[in-house]
Formats: sequence, C-alpha cells, structure tokens
Amino acid sequence: MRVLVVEDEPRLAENIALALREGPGYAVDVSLDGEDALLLCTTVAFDLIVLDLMLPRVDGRDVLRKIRAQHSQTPVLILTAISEKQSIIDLLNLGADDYMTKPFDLGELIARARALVRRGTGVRQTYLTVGDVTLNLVEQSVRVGQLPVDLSPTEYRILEYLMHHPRRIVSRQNLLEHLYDFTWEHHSNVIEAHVSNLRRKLRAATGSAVIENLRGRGYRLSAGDEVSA
Amino acid sequence: MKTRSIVRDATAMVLAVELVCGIVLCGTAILHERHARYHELEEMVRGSADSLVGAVQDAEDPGDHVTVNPEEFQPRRGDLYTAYTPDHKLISASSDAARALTPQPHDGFSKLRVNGHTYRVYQREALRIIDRYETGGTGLRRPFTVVYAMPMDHIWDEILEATQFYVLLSAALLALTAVLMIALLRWLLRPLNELAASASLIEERSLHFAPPASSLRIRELRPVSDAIAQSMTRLQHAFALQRRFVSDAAHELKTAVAVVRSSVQVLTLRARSAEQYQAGLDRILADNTRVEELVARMLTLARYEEAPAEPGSTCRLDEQVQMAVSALQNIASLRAVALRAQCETERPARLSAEAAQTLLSNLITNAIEHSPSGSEVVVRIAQTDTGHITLEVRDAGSGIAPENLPHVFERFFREDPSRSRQTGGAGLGLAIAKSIVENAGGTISIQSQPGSGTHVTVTLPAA
Repeated sequence: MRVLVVEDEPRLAENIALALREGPGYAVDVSLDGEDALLLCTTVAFDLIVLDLMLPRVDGRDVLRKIRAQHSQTPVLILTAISEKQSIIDLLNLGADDYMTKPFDLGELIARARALVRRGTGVRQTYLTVGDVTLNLVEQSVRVGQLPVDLSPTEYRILEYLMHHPRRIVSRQNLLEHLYDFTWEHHSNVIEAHVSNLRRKLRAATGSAVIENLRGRGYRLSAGDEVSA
Repeated sequence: MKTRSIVRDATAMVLAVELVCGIVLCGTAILHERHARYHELEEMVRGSADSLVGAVQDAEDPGDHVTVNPEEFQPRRGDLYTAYTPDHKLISASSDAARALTPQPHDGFSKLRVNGHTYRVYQREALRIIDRYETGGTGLRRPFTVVYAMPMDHIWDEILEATQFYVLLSAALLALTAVLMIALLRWLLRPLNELAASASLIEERSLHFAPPASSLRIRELRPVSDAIAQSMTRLQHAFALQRRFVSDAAHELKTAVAVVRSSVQVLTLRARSAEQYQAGLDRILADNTRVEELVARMLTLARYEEAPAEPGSTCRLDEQVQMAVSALQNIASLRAVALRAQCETERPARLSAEAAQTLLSNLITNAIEHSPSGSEVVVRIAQTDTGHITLEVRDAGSGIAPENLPHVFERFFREDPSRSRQTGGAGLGLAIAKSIVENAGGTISIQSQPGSGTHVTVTLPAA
C-alpha cells in the first residue's frame, strides 16, 4: 500500500512517514507543498493521502478539491490545526474521508490510515480471506486454516495488496508502485524473488497455487472460485 | 456631560424666532394703531377747534366776552376750550377747568396736563369781524386765539384693545408651533432612530451593518451611514487579520507540538537499540528547542506590537551594529559569507538598545541565510538631512520573487517554507523587525531583485 504524506513541517512529515512505514508497513512518499503533492498524484495511484491543510503554494483545501475534481478515489485523511465544526463539515463536504486535529496521536493516525486503506478497497473487516488464507490487517499476520504462515514484511505486503484486489491481475509494475516509495531503489527482479518466496510458502501451507503467475501480465490471487473479500 | 436634544433645541430656537416675530408684529401694530388714533384725534381736535372758531365768529357779543351759542357749537364731553385775545385776555371758556388752558407760545398741536388728565391741545388764530352795521359793512377786525383740548387718556386703552388680538394670536401660534415642532421633528428624526437601531444590531461576531433605506434617502444621514459602513469594513478587515494571525499562530504552535509528540511516539512504536533511543531523544530535544524558539519569537512580536516604545530610550546605532556584527560573525563565516559593517554616523537613534539588537540580528540573520557562500552582507548606517538615521542591510542572495514581496512583512509568511523550516525560521523575523521599527516611529521597506539580492532599508528618527 502506498501513502502520500503532504505536510510542510519536515520533521512532522518525517515522523508520520516513519510511523506509517514501521507500523502498517506502507510505502510512504512525502510532499512539503501542495504543488508537489498534486504533481505526485498525477503520476502515482496512491492508496491513501494524508493531507495537511496549511500548505505553501497550493493550500490543502485546493489540493483536495483538485484531487476530487480528477475523479480520484483515493481516501484522504486531513490533518488540521482547526477543530472548528464548520471547518470540519466543509472539509468532509469537499470530499475528505477523515480528519485529525493537531497535535494528534500517532497510534490513532496509524489506525485511521489502516481503516481508510481498508475501506478504500471496499473491506469492512480487519481481516481479509481468500480461500483458506486469512490475513489479519491489525496483527499483520497470515494464517492458513489455523496454522500461522511466517512471512517477511515485504512478502506480507505483497500478499496484503493482492488480497485487497482478489481475482484481479496485478502487474509487476502495479506491485512496485504500491509497495515501494520513491526512496526505494527499484530492482524489478527483487520483487519477483519476493513473490516467488511468497508463492512457495503459500503452496507449502495450502497445497495449492494461491498466487498464479501469468507470464508478462502479472500475478493473480486465486483459490478456485470461492473467493471472498 | 449635559445631554442636549435636537428636538428640544430646535423647538426652542423656532419658538424664540417666533416670539421675536410676534413682539415685532405686536409692536408694529401698536405703533401703527397709535399713529392712526393720534391722527384721528388730531383731526377731531382740529375740526372741533374750527367749529368753535365759527361759533365764536358768529357770536353776536360785541364786547370782550363771547358766549358761544350752544346751538352753534356743542363741545364733546370732556373737551375743554378757551379763546383769548392777542393780549391774552380770556374771551370765552368751556368751563372753569378750562381756564388752565392758556395760550401756547406756538400755534398747532401740543400736549397738556390739566387736573390730572392728559389732553391733546390745538391752538389756532382766527379773526372776528364785529359791528358790521355800525361801520357800514366793513366791521371791526378782532383777532383771537382758540385753544381747544381733547382728553387723550382713553387712546391708550383703545390702542391696547385693538392690538390685543395680535398678542393673543401670537401666543396661540407659539403654543401651536411648539406642539407641531415636537411632533414634526420626531417624525423627521425617525430615520436617525432607525439608523441607530441598525447600528445597534452590529455584533462582534458578524460586524455586518445594513443601513436602513430611510437613512440612504436622506442627504444629511447618508454620510453617517456611509461612515458606519466604512468603519465596519475596516473593522472586518482588522478582525480578519487578527483571526488569521490567531489561526496561523495556532497552526504553528500545534504543528510544533505535534512534531515533539510524534517524535516521542515514533520511538515507542517498537523496541529499539540504545543508540536508536539516544538518537531519537536528541531529535526530540531539537524539536522541543524549536517549540521554545517559536514561542519566544511570538512573545517578542507580541511585546513589540502591543507595548509602546519606552519614551526617551535611545542608543547609538553604530555601537549596536558593531555588537550585532561581531555576534553574528561566527554564523556568517560558517556559511562562508563576509559580514561587513559600514557606520557613517554616531548620532543616537530613538530606539532602545534591546530593540536595536533584536532588529539588527533579525535583519542580518535573514541576509546571511539567503546569501550564497562567498558573497557579502553589508550593514550600513548613515544620517539623512531630515534628521533621520537610515539602516541598510544588503545581501547578494537569491532575492525574493516579486509576487511574494508584498507579503514578506506578514506574520508567519515564508517564501520557501521547507527551507526556512529547516533553518528554524518561523516566518516572524521581518514581522518583528517591522513592529520594532514602527513602534519607534520609523519606516521599513524592502527591495529585491530575484537573483541579484535583497536590500532592506530602515529609517529611524534620530534622537
């Protein structure tokens, strides 16, 4: 899952990015102003945008308005110093999905970010199930039946992304975009290695190919036809 | 303070004017009436005197005593008359009382008091021809003087009676005017009350003023409602600025606090090594130092904006410049910027030493931060012909974009936010400088060319 943090205070942006990377294991990009944020939004399909309101160059409100004008479905979490009712109502009416007032609790920010990412793909529960495989979004753990499957963080993130988009072909490019931010050195075969490890572990646990490898097109999660999200 | 009322004052003024008019009217009426009555009386006196002359001429008494035949002439009641020969011998009189009517030195009208009454007196000469038969028709010429008097005590009563009408009419008009004036003025001033009512509806929260239609239609009230509307616009502007400052300040403070809090929480997300904790604590300390600096700068700004300058405090700017330059020399050399002072006057400025240090360190730090390495920052003070001291801080830095130039003195304005945040700037330096300079009765201006540097000019009154 890839998140954009738009915050003009570099230290705060740094801390939020660190928390989202270390907590739910998201790939996080940071923008220090609205203009840069809008530019990033046109090139990357983020799974969540954490947006400060008072931004240089382009105000947070305008960033939100423009993102929504482009028919983007990305959930937006607003960070604001203003706790006025009317301001919050206006923001929600502009298309914001949630808001937090500064100074906020980082744990709460992580929880809300998780919830927004979940709901962004239409998931209400805090776990995802495909066939025998169950992924707990809070514990960040994977079980097949009752047995836990030990995955590396990257393997977990790949599985999480695939389980958010079951039965859809997810290209390698797509995986790269949603799992790594711009601070990451791109080595496409690295992700292939992670996917192949993940496939091996899941096959061992379930006895069937949970992840299909469609040559030249990408990967698809399939557990027969009994797919539920 | 004694309050005045337009209704009362205007009514009093109109009544006073009307009273004067009434007095003039009554006075004129009295004078006119008096003149007419006098004239009438004089005509009567003259007529009666002429009749008397005729009666005397017709009297047949040849001697020195003439008896006026009552059929020929009957004086009015109260009238007196006498007739004299030229040598002042009384030849006839209406009664005993009339003997007081002695011939006057001149003919014509005069006034006389007899027995406690005032009389209008007319005197004329006449000629009487007697013994016409004896002298064969020519007769003897006997001149005589007639003095006729008519009482005039009643005239004043008549005059007053005749003018009483005017006096009463004036008094009635006065009363009517008073009542009408109060009612009309109240009606006329109703738009003023409506204006006051709408002005009283202005609230601190909305500061909205809707002038009533009645006040817009009245030429005299238009300036008042316009002035209120304009004041409200100015107040709205001032309040908006104030609200923006509060909201900006809240944002800055909350962000600064959020930084510290998030730094602490990031450390607790998972178990870390002792080195990681140490590094994290150092970052927290640094973040906290920035909160302290932000608060200190906001307090500095508040102090210079609210408190008026201490009267009479002065300092020598050349000394202050030397102090500031030597204090900032280290930072300048760290960035490989040459810092040079150029003091051309020793005249003290009307500014406290503390304020001067804050001002100088703000301006010079700004200049150093925006200077590329190897460039020079020049601080120059000089004296003008107009009794002012100019302070110039010039750098050869990146300059300020023209669209940002009008905003640089605004609080929390940062031209390049990410950069100045990293250098610890809160966007308050120039706002503080501006309030110090304006507090001291000076001016501050900034010229900048992107790419070739910025030039801040401060003008301070010399002590």
